[in-house]
Amino acid sequence: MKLLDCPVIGKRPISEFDYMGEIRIPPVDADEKTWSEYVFNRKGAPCSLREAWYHRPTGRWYVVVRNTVTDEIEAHVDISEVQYELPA
Amino acid sequence: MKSVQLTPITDWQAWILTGPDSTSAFAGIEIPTEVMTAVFSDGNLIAKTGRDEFLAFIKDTAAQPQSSWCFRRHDRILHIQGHAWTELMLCLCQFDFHQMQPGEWQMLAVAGINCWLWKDPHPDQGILIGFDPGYAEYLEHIFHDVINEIELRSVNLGGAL
Repeated sequence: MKLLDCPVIGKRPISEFDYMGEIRIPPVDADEKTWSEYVFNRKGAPCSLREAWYHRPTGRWYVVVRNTVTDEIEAHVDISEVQYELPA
Repeated sequence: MKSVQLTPITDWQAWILTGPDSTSAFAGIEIPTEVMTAVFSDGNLIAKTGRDEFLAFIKDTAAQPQSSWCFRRHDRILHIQGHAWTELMLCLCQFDFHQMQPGEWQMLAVAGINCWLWKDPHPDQGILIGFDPGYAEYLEHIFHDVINEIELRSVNLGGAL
């Protein structure tokens, strides 16, 4: 069984989580080329990636920095740091 | 006496409260301040599950919480006690219940079902577990099967030792 070592709630089975992908801020005011890049392309290179994980039993989102090479969780990111305004 | 007893708790009304006025919804009832902690007082159990979110289990006879976003829940709640309750839970969940502290609140999956758990601060009182009542028959069936296995195991070992 694979465990995710969440800095907030501790080690939990990966089966309790849904992976929601890299945290990406949409380029709200950008041109079509930038939007196309945002929608269709991902970097995918090994790195420390900010990711959103949804923990079903608590019903909470956790944003963590995960090293995609070692699979280690390096830090917890407060959700307020990744919030962004939607255009009116 | 069985090694683990399951007792349904039915004299609580369950609520989920959220929004900025959730903290002020509890008239005279003590509430926790830290997220993922719970307070048990005057027979009511309140858990803080988010920045402004609470799960509340209030005695039928007490004043119920009032706020803009205060919704009824209908959790199935069981009191699990007996000397082998830890063994039962360890068979069904990854969490290390030996490390669970009195009064600790947890939300995790037990036999694949999302549950909340609260450890009674009184020694030998076991834990409370709450979950979606739609899974009650499934989960209680599993509990009883595992309890029977634990008891069979202890009977067989008793003769050998």
